[in-house]
Amino acid sequence: MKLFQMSPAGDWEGAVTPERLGETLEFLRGAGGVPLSTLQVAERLARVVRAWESAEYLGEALGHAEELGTSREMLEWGLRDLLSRLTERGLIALVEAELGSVEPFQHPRSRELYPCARGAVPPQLLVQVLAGTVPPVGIEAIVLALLARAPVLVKTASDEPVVAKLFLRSLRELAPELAERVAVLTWDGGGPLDEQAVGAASDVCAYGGNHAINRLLGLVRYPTRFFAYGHRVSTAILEHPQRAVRDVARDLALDVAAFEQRGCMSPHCLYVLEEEGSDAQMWAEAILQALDHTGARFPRPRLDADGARRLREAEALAILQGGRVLQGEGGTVAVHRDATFRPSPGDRFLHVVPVSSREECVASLAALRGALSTVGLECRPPALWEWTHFIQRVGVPRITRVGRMQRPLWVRDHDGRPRIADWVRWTNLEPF
Amino acid sequence: MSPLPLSLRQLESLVLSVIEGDTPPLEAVGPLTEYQRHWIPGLDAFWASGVRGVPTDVFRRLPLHTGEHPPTREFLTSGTTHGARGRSPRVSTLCYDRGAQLHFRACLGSLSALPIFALVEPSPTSSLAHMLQDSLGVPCTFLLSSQGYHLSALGAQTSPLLLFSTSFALDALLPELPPLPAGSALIFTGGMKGRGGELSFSQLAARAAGHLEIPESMVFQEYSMTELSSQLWGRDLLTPPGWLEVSARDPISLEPVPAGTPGVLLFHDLANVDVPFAIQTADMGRVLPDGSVQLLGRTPGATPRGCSLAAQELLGST
Repeated sequence: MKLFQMSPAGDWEGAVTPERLGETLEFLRGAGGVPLSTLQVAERLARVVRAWESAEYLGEALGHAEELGTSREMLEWGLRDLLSRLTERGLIALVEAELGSVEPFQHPRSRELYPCARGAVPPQLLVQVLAGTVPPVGIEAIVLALLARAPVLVKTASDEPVVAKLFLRSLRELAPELAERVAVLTWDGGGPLDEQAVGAASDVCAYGGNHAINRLLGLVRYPTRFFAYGHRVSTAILEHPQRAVRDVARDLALDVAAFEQRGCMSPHCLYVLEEEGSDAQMWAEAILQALDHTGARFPRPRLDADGARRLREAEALAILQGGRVLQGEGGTVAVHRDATFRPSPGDRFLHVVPVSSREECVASLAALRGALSTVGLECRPPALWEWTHFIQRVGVPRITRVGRMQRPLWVRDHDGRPRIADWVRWTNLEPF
Repeated sequence: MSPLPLSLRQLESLVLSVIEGDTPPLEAVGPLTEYQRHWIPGLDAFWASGVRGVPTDVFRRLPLHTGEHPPTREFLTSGTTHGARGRSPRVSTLCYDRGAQLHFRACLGSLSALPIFALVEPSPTSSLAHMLQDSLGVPCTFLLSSQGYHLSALGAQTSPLLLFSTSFALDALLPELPPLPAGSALIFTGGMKGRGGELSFSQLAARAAGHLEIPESMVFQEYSMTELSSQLWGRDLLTPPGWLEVSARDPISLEPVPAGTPGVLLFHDLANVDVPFAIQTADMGRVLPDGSVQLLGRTPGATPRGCSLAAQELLGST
């Protein structure tokens, strides 16, 4: 069945209609799980990834950078970073780490000390709803679904319909047996097509704002399972770093600038534990300088009217609350007097907040319980475990070093949950 | 050492004389600037940053007002689709009330003497309800309440009246409204953006006039916001009072744009004595050479806000 027509110009022909969506869903539901081993899936995916790294697909994606609201350089950095982690070994390791063995779908295994064997069963139909804030997620969504052997419908965001569709095209050309289980469609959310897609799914995985997530949740009926990655924010903490100020500032500036500060792992606020030789103002100036350097490498996108309005609001609020705003070519840093977490308006705007103790910092973070994705931490090794203990207590699912905030390890949880294990069901084979 | 600014009472007297037409507006600008620089926390530093107008969105996080006296009441915005409501605490509404009444009369003429029936919910925190009830100087009957809408009082009228409504309430309730008595007029306020489409003044006026059986020339609109103390009245083009300066600015740079060019609206409202008088909105409009203003909706992508939303929430729950 030919599900998708693509014109030579690369545009998808025709709007998604209920009939077209219905056909797609019916086809995918009837297709069954991907009939390949983990080793085969990983080998094919790695082949596609290599093709992306070397040639036309990446170039074509980069041609869409401006319409995705970012620079060509930033989009390339983000895509290459993801692609570099999608190695054959890495893909196999993820399956093994999350599902207990390399081939859990092919060969039910009993684990040591467990009385029965169990075999993994892929979802009948996974529907993934993407947010469009971080373009590489379009690739990740497809790769993860295929590792879980799921037939998958990816609904892209209206403002980022590019990357997932290009990845599907590369699959179709280089690994057609995988492409057969993947559909990528774009429609404006909030209408009856959402209900149709969710109604046909065995599993729904949604990214986006809480309002959109709750709306989708309202469409789900048992036994369909629903997994969501809603709105989250991230923050960084500095306590007398061992590394040079310039290096830490450079890494933090990259964390801020990556994906134009739209992702859940983008830092909004930096807590600085003030002590002799390390104060918020000093760090703010260093970071502003680093943002300028980062801006030279990854140009800042042009502001639109709404972005300018949000920026003005944040600047005005900071000043009216007694803070100081430092503006540079590469971004904005607002230094505050109190330890309140403040959300960034985006466009490479970082709040710098002084704290006098770890307890004060954690008390500030506690107000965000459940809404924090990542803490980027820079401190001396002896303080690491104490900080970890504090941060863990307020429910932060990920701690990493500054400079890695936007580059989570592949073989680890996302927002505190496994990447593929949630979608898989199990058949237990008890001893006879 | 700079001299202490006027007290609030002294400043109010000065602004009242501006509103009454006894003092040129420019004479109040200096004292008002000095007063607010001294008494509104953070404003001095904010102005020193080179920006004049406080963005309206700031009031959702920080209720700015004079620190000379404690506020006696607080106006709240009608809410946004993102939840937080803007707050505008007030010490006094003396200038607000006098200015509203005089400019209403100046713009509406003999119509300003008609009793008002309002498709608005009375609320102590609504600046719109305050204006209708306490400022305009004519009796006002509210037709909405937390329980829903009550149109029987309107249906029983045989004498000319002013029907005042938010755009959303009008759009939603128009089929329920009876024809208005001859000589009546309609005034609506608030935009429709972000709530399933936006109607222009002329579209809404034509539709409403036809249903209410009044001439289109008897349909007017009002524009203001919680953060302002003054109003603009008119039809497609709105007239600001003499103590309210309106300018259109480039949405990104905030530089003034030539007359007649669309921009985001910046207000300098001298009647904002105890709250910041320079307000930067996210509303788009054109300011024509004669000073009249044409509204063009919200900045693309801006958070929808305004009185219409309160009515929508109310009606949506009944």
